[in-house]
Amino acid sequence: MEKIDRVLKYIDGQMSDEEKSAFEKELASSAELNSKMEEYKNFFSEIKEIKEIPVDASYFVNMIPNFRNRIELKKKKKIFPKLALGFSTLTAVIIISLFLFKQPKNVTFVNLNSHGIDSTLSLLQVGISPLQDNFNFSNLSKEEEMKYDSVVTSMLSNELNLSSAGLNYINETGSNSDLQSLLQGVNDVEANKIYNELLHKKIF
Amino acid sequence: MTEINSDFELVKSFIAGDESAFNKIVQKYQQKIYWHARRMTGNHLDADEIVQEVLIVLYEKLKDFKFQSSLYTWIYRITVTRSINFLKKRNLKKIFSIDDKLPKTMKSSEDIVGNLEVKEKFEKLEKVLQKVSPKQREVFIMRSFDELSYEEISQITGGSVGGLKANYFHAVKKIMELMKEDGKD
Repeated sequence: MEKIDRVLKYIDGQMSDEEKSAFEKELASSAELNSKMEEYKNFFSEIKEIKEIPVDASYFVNMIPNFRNRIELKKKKKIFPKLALGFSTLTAVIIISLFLFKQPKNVTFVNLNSHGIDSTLSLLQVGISPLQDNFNFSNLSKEEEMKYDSVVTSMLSNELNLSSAGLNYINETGSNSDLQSLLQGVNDVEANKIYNELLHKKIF
Repeated sequence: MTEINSDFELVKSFIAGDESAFNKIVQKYQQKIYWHARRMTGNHLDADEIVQEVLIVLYEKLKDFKFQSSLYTWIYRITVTRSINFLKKRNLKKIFSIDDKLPKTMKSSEDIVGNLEVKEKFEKLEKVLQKVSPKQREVFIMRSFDELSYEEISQITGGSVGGLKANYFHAVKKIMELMKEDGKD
């Protein structure tokens, strides 16, 4: 161990009795060790001097009153954010309520729940019946029929992910009486299963 | 034992609603809190800020104190933590040049050390202490000024006794060297 470390250990009281005794013997005969020892002793006595310096006592006298003022200020600061949050929340609720409950012009809402399901259906029937004639496909011209066919075809194509060859196959076999009778034999559960599988596979 | 009983009674009184008990605790330990903060930060203004933070923590947390250590150890631990945190914030501010109003030198009227004879030595040591790492500074202050044992320092800082001894010895050697260099300037 370096001389300095041994001196420090001795001054710091970290030596065992044996170590201390050996060190003190060495100290008695070593000028260099003595010089280091003096150096460190002077250092620690300076530290001790600085430790007990006189200071302005009024700072410590005023410490508690200053602290109490700070506590009061802190309490006031806590209230203000709560008020601000409450106010902004209230404003947001008012604005949202205005948007939600504001009635659009020229619209009459009917509360269907108050009528019950049967009366709802009869209301729909009353609404739709004037238009029903327009939805009778037997009255459609060839052009209109083709237009509806192409809409249905494109819907089928998109949903079943079929190529045009696949669609043609369906159209051709759709009129086949064997396929028709086969399809009539398929129950709802089987139909759903087939439908879902078709959706996820490209057949053609 | 008498001191622990006295601290225990004061804490009990404070929890029961006696504000004057808190004032007595502060009066008892305020110098120790201040001087640790002062030696860690190197100036009065920063030390004062730490002291106020420590007192606020004490005020808010004293009701939860379970006497698993002495009150002094608990208070000291808070002071040490706040001091280290303050130094980290101060260093960050320096790095990012935030708050350019930071005074590099304090006016003498802002310092409570009035005695000119000792003031010079004190300021020299303060300057030197700032050149030592916070961990070494911390153990040096607690050992040399507060005369705490390594076991007590370990309880406060959480460091191992062996590590603390090593830090202390490094700190002493470095501070002595720096004091000599400063003396030559």
